[in-house]
Amino acid sequence: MTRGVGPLMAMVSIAWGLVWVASQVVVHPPLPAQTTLVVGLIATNLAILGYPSVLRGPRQRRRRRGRAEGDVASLVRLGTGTGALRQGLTPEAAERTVDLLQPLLGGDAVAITDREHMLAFAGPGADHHTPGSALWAPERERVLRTGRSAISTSVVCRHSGCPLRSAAFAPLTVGDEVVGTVTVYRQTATPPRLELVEGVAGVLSLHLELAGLEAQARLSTDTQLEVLRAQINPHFLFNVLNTIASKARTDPDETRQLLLRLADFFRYAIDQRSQFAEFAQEYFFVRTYVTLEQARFGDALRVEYDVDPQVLGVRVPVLMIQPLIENAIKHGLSRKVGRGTVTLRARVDPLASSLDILVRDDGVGMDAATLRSLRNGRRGGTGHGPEAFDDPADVPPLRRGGIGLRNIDERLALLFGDRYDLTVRSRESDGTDVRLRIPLR
Amino acid sequence: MPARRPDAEPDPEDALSFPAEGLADLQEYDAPAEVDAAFVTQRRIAVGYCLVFLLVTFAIPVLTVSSGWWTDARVVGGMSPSFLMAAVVLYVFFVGLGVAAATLADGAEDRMLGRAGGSDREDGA
Amino acid sequence: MSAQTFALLLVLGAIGTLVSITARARGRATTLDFYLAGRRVGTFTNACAICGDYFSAASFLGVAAAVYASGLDGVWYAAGFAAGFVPVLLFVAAPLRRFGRISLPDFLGERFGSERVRVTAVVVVQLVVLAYLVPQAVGSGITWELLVGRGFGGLSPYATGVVISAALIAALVVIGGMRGTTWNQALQFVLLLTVLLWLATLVFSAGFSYPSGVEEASSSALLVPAQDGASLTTVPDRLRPDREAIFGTPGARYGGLGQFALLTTLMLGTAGLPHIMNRYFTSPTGRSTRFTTVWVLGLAGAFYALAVMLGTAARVTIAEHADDTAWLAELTIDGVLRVPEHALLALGRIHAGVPGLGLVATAAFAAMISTIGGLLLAAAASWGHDVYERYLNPRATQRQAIRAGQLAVGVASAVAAVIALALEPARLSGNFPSVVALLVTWAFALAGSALSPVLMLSIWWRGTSVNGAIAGMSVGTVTVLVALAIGLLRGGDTDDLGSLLLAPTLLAAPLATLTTVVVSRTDGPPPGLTDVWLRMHGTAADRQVERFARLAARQGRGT
Repeated sequence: MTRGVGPLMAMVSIAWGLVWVASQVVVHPPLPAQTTLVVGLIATNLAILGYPSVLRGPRQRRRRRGRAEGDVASLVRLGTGTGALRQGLTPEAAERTVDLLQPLLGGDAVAITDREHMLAFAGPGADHHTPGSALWAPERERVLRTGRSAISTSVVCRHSGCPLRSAAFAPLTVGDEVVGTVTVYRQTATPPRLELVEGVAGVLSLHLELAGLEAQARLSTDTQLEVLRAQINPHFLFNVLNTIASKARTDPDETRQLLLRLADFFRYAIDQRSQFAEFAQEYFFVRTYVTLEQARFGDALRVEYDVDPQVLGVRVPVLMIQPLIENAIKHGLSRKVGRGTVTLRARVDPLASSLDILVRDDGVGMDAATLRSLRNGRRGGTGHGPEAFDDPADVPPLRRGGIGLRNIDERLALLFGDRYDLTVRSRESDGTDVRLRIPLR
Repeated sequence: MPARRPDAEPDPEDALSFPAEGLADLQEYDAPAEVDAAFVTQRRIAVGYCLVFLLVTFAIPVLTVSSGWWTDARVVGGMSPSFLMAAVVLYVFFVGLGVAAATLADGAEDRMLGRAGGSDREDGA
Repeated sequence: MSAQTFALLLVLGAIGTLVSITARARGRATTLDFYLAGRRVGTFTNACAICGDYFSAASFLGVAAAVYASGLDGVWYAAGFAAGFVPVLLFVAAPLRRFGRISLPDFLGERFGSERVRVTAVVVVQLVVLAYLVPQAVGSGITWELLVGRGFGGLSPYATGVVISAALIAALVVIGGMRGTTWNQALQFVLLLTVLLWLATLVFSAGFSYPSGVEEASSSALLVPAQDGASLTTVPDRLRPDREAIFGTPGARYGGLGQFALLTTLMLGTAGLPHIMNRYFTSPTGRSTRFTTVWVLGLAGAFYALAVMLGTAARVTIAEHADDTAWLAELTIDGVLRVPEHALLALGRIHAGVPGLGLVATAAFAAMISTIGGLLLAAAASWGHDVYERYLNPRATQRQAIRAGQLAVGVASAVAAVIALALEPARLSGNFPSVVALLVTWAFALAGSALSPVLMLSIWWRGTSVNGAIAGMSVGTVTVLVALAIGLLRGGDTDDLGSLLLAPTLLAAPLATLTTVVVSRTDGPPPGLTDVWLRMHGTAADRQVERFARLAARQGRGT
């Protein structure tokens, strides 16, 4: 209590002091006593009112536990126990789930579908809404397309005796993708509560995601390595580990740092599930990678960043910038004598509604033949990949410039169709420019 | 979706642990109910400060119209309280209000929705 | 004007333009500092960029002009422009960024899951951009008129100024690659602030004292150019009709209602300005927008306080010097400027000769260039991203997208130039002193009535519906346009009602809000709100980014 009162007293005294100074001393002519009193009283009362709430901080609102939450809670408990959808979105799992759901959702019938067919149905109308049948509700198509739930107060089913009148549709999502829907129907014209259905859909989606993760974990390690290999050159991994090993005895601190960076690096690379990430994330990934490379090259490598802060929030294809930097470092600089500089430049172009990324190195460049073959996209032969060579400089030119960029080009074509630009400009001993323009998202 | 918040990010400085749940560790989630509560608080904060802002800002034309003292008294040189307020004091008030509102909103957010493993105030570069 | 001084001015102007376009920040880890080196550094840069976009000819020349012409009533412009960022901070900044779109129509379209909302918003945005472009063009015309005093191709100096600036800036954007990057805009603003500070220093070292200056300016009735353009007259104090208006007390232009109207219009308008709000989408996190806005409030406050002081100084100084300086005598009648926008420019020339004039003019041009550029880019982005690529040509190639943007820039600048030409300020000055500030008020009125209410409601009220949003935007726009038309036809803001009609947010915004609320009740909120709410008011994405930033901070220390 003592702690509280003292500052309040001080505040009030200061307030009155200020009022006196402002109204009597400084101003000509001074304020009449009555007005001064009123102003002072207002100030005092405001101080007294405001003081406790400043002390207390913002009020925390008690959470309203509605019926909807209670039901979902019990559903989660049930779901975790039997784990119906943990096997993924299969007809059997869907059957078990709709049986579970039907009494809980305040509707008459429940359906689970994937993107093309009905997977399971429970409740009145089950005679003609059979598993495997085609999807008939137009709202459901919209839900599948946009990923937003919808309500219908007049369901139109082709079957004449269908008792269903209204419905609420909610999407089942895994990551960014809509993989199916869950629908609750009623025989009256008032549709079921959408929040409840959405909540349930959320829980089911979670189960599906867990199913996906478990499936991934069950995949053989070979497949995972393949994923890794496709995105990250293991040659890089060997080099980093070599560097780390060589520093282990002389500089244990740096060794630890490097190993941690390596861990961050792989965590990010493996964890990517969606096709896009914010530029800021990719940027930090690049910096992690560059730290590792710099441990190896030391002063011989300099990387400059010229990134407009506007770019940081834009969504870019995931794991696309680091390979460009990797190419620049590998091809441009490993054969160069002296110091090499790689520049990453990123700008937003509002005029063309595009993101402009430039990776430039001042290394050995490519001769015209290599450049042409890059542009024509010819594959560099079969057999050994670049990792079979100890020194990247020994890799035949076609393969040296080619694979990473081709991969990127293909991904871009898949993601953006015509609406992107990937250009390579290079001259022997004059460095290389790789320029990427993708639409703003 | 239920919240999944790492309650303590495994300190990378002590053990070189690759946490088993590391796969999902990089994703941050919010629970709808918590976001709702935070939203209501933020709205209250915003409305509250807005009222203070409107009160003070509109007090000026009100005083201008109603009070002779406001326009006729001279505080320093030829500047009436009215002039001083509009030419200098108001901007100071805006900044003060802004700092207070922003700090409170940030603080409320931290408390209600959590910080990923601690404040980044500690990391000055 | 001699050929030498002309050349000097051209050189100065070129330098200013060059700085504004080509300035590039070099150095490693600049963007890392953005996040980490005490949050302040990064948010400060973005704040400067926002200010660069915000401070246009209206702020730089127009505020001082308004203060010069109307005394305390002109200070409302400054106060209102600064106040506009408070609603942004409180209601718009963080949720807007968190939702993560690119532009206001984009945001509204996604928020409601409706294309109709998006298209309506695009139309309003284009109108606001146009309304904001016109005063910039007018400002350039006026500055050219003063600076060069000569027209080309048979056009009046004013017209030449308008055409050249519109064409030049459009060319800069389309061909020259001006993209309004953060660094350029921030530097632009720093230049502006520096010039103001420099001018203020000059003024003070010449013996100006702010309090006595106000006293001197208020010692007699405020004199303004009369309708006939050849003499001066006094103005009745609209708050106390038995008296004449003086400089230091309000009432020279606005009666009681007028004061409220202007303040409200400016206050609500900022949140709806497309080129400003677009900068908010580019903050790194939703959280960082808050303190960015606090910085903006601080910078804007300093800027406007200076501008007001300089406007006062102009009143006093120009009256003193009018008789013994030839060039000044041309611009004034009995010591009072004919065109108030000349105030700062004249002040520069009085205290630092022609180079001083050149410097102030350069800063004014820089402000105009950066703002016009920002506006054109906002218009082009909205057209290209929200309309062209979505409806007209979903399979657009890169080149087609660029062409669409260039076309939008060309059209917007052409239309703005045409309208500016039609508004020869000399004719208007009689009725509307400080015409630039007035025109900007109209843009603010449109933004504040058509966009701000709907924007704020859609962020803070779940019940906003698609039809409600569309109705709100439409009603806001129409009300403002109708009010402006009626106000102009009635002959301007000679009385309270006139003032209200020419700054109609007080009418239009509540109307728009009411419409939105009422109509929203009829068709109900869009589905899928849980997800929208999570994105807008949840901090998961912010925390993700901060976590990555912290990873990199550890790296920074390691290297």
